Amino acid sequence: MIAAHGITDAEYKKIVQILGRDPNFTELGIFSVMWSEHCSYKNSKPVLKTFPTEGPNLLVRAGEENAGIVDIGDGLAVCFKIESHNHPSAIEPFQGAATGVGGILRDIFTMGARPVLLMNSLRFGNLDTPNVKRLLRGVVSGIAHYGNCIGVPTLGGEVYFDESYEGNPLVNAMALGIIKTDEIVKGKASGIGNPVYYVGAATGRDGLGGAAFASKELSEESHEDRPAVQVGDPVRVTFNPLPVLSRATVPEVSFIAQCATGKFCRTLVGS
Amino acid sequence: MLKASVVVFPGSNCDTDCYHALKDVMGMDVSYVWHKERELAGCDLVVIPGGFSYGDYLRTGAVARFSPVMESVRKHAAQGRPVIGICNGFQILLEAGLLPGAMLRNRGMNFVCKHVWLRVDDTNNLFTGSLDEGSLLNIPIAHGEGNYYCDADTLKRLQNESRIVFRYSSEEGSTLEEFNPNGSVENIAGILNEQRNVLGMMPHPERATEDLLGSRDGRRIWESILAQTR
Repeated sequence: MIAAHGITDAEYKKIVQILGRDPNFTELGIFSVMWSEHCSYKNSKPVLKTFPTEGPNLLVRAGEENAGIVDIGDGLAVCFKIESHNHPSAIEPFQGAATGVGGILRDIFTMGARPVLLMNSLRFGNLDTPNVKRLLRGVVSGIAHYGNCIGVPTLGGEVYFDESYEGNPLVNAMALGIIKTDEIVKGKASGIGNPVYYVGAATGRDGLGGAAFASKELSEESHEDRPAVQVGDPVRVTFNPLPVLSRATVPEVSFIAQCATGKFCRTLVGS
Repeated sequence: MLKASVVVFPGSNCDTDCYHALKDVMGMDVSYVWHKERELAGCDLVVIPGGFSYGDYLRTGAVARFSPVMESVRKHAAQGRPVIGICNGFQILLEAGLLPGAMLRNRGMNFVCKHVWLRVDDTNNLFTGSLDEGSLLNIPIAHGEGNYYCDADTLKRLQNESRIVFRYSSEEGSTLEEFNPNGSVENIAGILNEQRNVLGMMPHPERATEDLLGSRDGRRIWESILAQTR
């Protein structure tokens, strides 16, 4: 069961050390999600640490919230982020790429920003192979479908082909939005006893375990995980008009969090 | 001042562009009307914008035609007052029976997003009344289902009654098939109803209203509406 949660022996020992006992099923699930590669970027952290994170116009830094925010003057700011959706796209290219776009858009509008553009950075294996062709077609149409439905234009991107990406495509979705600097919404919950409203479309069959699934190593058996890839629902996303949730119109709302893949845990339980 | 109502369905996504073009650029008095409203009180022009109403579930525009607001749109049209349906708006008007024919998937099976040339083939209506016949407009399209179809009898009627307002063409006005981006019959891009007050068009004039967007040709349609409804 521990292995099924994507937790190594060494990690399990650490959990026991932290809690001072064995974790229960729920706690195991929380650690599985919070410590997954997707949520913690534990393997990429050493490289990510070398990127710059300081600047004169930063309103929200990398890692603080769902997305970063940079002041552009005149009371306005840009809110943007890029995120990977490699595993779901490798197994179910259309829906994996589509929900990657959905997820990145959510990161932007839950900050209170209005998304104005999408971009993407893609890597595939050798274009000669039928499987790569299938992945490329699926990913591109997934990105196109979701973007078209939600009405945010995809302005550009990049794509490279190399055999090192065979079977392991990289699908990075980026979104940028505009926001007034006094309307930024943060995602830190506080106060015991406040009601939680969880709004959104249906999950994949992995339920809340999306992050753990997305962090598993890909293998021949991975195609069996296909039902775990969430089916994108861009229309449902547009049905939830942000103004209704925004603090400006509903002062009782103390925060909004983008609750995909581990964020549900992080928001309510803390990191 | 001309009052325009931009109808918004769940899934409409060109409503903001229409609002901006009509209000900020053309100076009209514009308001949004949510699809659940039953009143369109005192509005001169009804605009049904593009997008993916109801996610194109079942067929494009198939569900939107049942929205409460469509009753008022119908009444407004019956009174001979102007209605313009753009892209998904055109599809909704077809499903609602306010225009004849149907929309199929683009012949190439792909979503097409690019600027095209339209030839104005009728000016006996308020939408193009201020233009010369044969005028060429450069306006963008962005659709996966713009392949207009109607049966032979309907096509004959449209031709005889000069209700085909726009055809996809070359920059010089040629309507050869190579200038047809989606396979629509006779390169049809926009048509009128019998009364000539309801226009459905696939291209987006609201996206060609300012130089910033690459073309101001769409503005000529709004200017014509303003001039003809005075």
